[in-house]
Amino acid sequence: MADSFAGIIIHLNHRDVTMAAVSLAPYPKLKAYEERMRWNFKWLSSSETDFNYDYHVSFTPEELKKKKAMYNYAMQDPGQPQREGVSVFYKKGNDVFHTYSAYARGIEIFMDDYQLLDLTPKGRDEGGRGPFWVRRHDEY
Amino acid sequence: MLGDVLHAGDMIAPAMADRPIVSPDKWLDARIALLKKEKEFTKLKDDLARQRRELPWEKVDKNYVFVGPKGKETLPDLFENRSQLIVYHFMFDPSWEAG
Repeated sequence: MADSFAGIIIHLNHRDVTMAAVSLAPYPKLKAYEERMRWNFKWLSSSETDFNYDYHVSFTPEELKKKKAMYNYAMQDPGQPQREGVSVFYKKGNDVFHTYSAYARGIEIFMDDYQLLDLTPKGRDEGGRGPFWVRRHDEY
Repeated sequence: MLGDVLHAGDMIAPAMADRPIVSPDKWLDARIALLKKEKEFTKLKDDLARQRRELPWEKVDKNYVFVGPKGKETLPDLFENRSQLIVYHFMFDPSWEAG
């Protein structure tokens, strides 16, 4: 997914939008992975804040054990300690407002490859199994 | 059914059933019929986007501090000199080596 958005950031930037990726892992891990994938988008670690927990994309060991946590606006088994999502914020003066968040299939807008696969006869070709085929671009 | 021929992680898909082969005229009719639905969907999508823009806002009062290439940055810092910020929640657990 990061492969999809890396190229559009410059266009967003000229429409008053800044784009950032945020992950719970500590920054040195992000940096090492960024070098492997040859990415250069803005990517920060939220390891020192509650941000990921507050926006319901990271889950505590207790939530994982109970298989019950708030994800995609419902109590459910998140399945993994980290889940995908997108959140939008607006800044006016010194105030910051949260305007939108989406999770799970709500983030398919990030996947340019899906939009194009949807035009082909075979389509996503997942047989109801979800995106089993997705690999890191250096793993195909 | 699919489970018989496919294993999780297979990159090769099962054979796709061929579609009817038709004359150019018939093909165009079928395509135009779908175009009608595509146009309806595009309008619905525009309407959904408008409703999304009309959602209320909630004020962020917590002082989040992130760590990135420039060291520590707050949520307002992430906007740089712009007024809108999209955060992609990139799944990367502290125990993982890859996202």
